[in-house]
Amino acid sequence: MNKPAWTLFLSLIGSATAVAQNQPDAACILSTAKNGQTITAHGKAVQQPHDLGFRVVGCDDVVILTYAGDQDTDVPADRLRRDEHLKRFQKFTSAVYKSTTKDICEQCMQYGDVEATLTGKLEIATIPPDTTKDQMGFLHDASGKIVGTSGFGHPTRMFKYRLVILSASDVKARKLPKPRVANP
Amino acid sequence: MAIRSKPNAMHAPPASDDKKCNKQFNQRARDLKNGLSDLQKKVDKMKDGPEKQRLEASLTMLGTEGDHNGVGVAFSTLDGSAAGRTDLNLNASGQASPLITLDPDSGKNGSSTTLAINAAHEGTHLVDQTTELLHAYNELSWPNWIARSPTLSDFSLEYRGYQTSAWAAQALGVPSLAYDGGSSVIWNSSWAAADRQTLIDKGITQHVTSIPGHPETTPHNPWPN
Repeated sequence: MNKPAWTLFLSLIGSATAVAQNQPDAACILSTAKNGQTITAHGKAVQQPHDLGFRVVGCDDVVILTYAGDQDTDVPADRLRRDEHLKRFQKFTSAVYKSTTKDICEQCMQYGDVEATLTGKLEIATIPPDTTKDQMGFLHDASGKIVGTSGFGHPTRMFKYRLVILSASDVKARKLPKPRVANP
Repeated sequence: MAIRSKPNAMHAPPASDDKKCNKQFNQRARDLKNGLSDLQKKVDKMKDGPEKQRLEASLTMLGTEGDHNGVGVAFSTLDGSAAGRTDLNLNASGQASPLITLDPDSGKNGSSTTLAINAAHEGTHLVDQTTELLHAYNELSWPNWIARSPTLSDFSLEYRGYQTSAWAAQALGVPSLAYDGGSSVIWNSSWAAADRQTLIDKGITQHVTSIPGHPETTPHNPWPN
């Protein structure tokens, strides 16, 4: 592309629709936690197409996970406890079976039902007053001008919560069989 | 596009592994260029239709290395099973900085073919996000735009991404492409031509609805292409 669309200024965009975010359960730790608070919670890993999520016991919302020290966090890498528990969690949540040259199986996990107790810094996305959030997670002011973003996840920022992992414990998982391509 | 390495703290190799890391990056960068070049050649020979249009749009968005189109492509370990991801951010003046990140792991993107498929998928996400922004820009009135051009639901956004994956696999001559441990087949070259559209739709719908937070919406693809 010679003249990329990126050079366009988008400040004239009209007002946006708000994206409703789930109301937390009363019994869910997320409902009482504050933005920036360090929490410890048990839950189950949830694979998203472009992110790793985590469903905390007692909560409906999926929490997006990232590790301390990752580039888009402000938590320094030296706060990450790189012990065997963390390595197991990382392995269980990311190991995929290699595809054959004949049949490609993508995102085909080696482990399922990955559970862990995670400690991390909880980040809560908010929608400031007088702004609305569109489907892609951009915030607009009353005139429609894009004034920021809200939410976590890719490609849209559809999740309200993110946990910056500091440590993991009680990690367990179930080994999954090698993929077999079904014949629909 | 501009291709670069982007190590992160969790997965960054020790300093002694720099040589190995650079070698892997160089290999993946070569694989990506070869894969996209191969896909472009196959797309050029496709008959006109939504498949060709979609793949061309994605490839145009990605561009070629060094074309200064503003699209960045990074190789970096991604959390979970993700093989790729797209970030579209705007700076204070409204200028966009699109970035596609591909995981160099051999299980996720171990060949030029899988890299091309996953890059095409991410390219479609970028096209779709840009389209939504530009529609809004052109209409200058968000409510009217909402009425005329529906935003993509989280289901439809991923549905379109996996459509591109399936069509890229088909174009590249891949025998089959599946997800969910092989149970969600989104492309199989053994399918009869008359059944392909239905079976691709079935496989993608099964896969996307299995992802938490992606309930089915209809029409699956509300846009003309």
